[in-house]
Amino acid sequence: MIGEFEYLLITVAARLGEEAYGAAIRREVEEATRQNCSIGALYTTLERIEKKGLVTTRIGEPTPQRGGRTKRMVRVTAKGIQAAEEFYTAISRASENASCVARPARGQP
Amino acid sequence: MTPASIWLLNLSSRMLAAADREVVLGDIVESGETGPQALIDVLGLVMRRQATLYWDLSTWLVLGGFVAPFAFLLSLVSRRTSDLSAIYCWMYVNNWDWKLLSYPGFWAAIADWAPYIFLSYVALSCWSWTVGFLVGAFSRRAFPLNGAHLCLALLLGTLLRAPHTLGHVLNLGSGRGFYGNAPVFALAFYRVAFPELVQFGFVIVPALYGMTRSQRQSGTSRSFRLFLTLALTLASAQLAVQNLMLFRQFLSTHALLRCLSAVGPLIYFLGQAVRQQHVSLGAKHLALESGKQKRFE
Repeated sequence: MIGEFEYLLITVAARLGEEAYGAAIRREVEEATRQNCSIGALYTTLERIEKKGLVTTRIGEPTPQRGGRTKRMVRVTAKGIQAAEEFYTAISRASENASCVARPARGQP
Repeated sequence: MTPASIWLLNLSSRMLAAADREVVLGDIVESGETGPQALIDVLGLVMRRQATLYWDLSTWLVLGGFVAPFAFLLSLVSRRTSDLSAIYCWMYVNNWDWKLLSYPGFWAAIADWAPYIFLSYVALSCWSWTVGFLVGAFSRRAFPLNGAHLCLALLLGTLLRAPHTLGHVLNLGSGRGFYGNAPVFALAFYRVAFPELVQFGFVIVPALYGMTRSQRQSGTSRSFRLFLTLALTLASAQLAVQNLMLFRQFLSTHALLRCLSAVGPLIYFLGQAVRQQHVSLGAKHLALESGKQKRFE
């Protein structure tokens, strides 16, 4: 099964769709986790999950916002989506009735 | 970002592959990161990329088969060279007397040992350059890792000097054990600092320079690269052989043989000069041809 950081990258990339590239994924991960995401961890993990066949990457077009430098576009494969679903199912199953998991108050969703 | 930060960032990003470098620098520009944080991010990625190379068998083969033995040997040769010259430095610098200049024996002694010391330092630098060049040429991808291994192995070679049991094999006696040289090595400068200065200036700097030159081999002909590889291999073999006691009896012209250490670097720089000449002549020829074409039109 994939790890939690791999799950984060795959899920965020799937949500971003055609706009999924390194810096955007990093921004989304930092917003979701409220913690810094280092470039080293991001690209090392991307390379690892690409080798596993969970994502594919390609070099995108340079943009002025990036000083005319290229970006690495990310696309999640079907295998990646399946791996992310398995991880989510496992976490949900493990979290059922766990005292450490926050629950909504009665009458609230 | 300050100009110094930008310079450091560009320098450290050169340790990444070209595609990675463009993407990472673009991400840093887009996110607006400051100098120190950007540098930490780039170096973090470099270290992670290099760490994955430890899973490759080739990394261990290069480390154990070439880097460690030659770095160890270089550090021992450096120690021997520095100790030998320390003795003469102590004699003529720490005990200087202007009257010595009027003694013919002084000049005879200088003529006797000065060329040998000079050739020793030249040979040490050339050997170091050669080892660095070969280490850098093994793998472009593992260039930072092999460089770090080389520096670490040189440091360990200094700390773990050849034990006495190897004395009958290695011709690396440095004179420290001789009681007559005790006043020299009683001084902390000659005992500790001077060997480190020599190792830094005549081993590490030439080795790292050789490593950087090895990365600029694109555009050279195959025959030149083969010839250069042979010359460098000869110089490396000479480094090992020249310092083995086993061959000492047969090396009556060892001072001349030390000149062989310069073969590799000389061939490289001559080859680069010839190639540069061809490139500039080719460019002039093209300019002349295009000028003629325009006049014809």
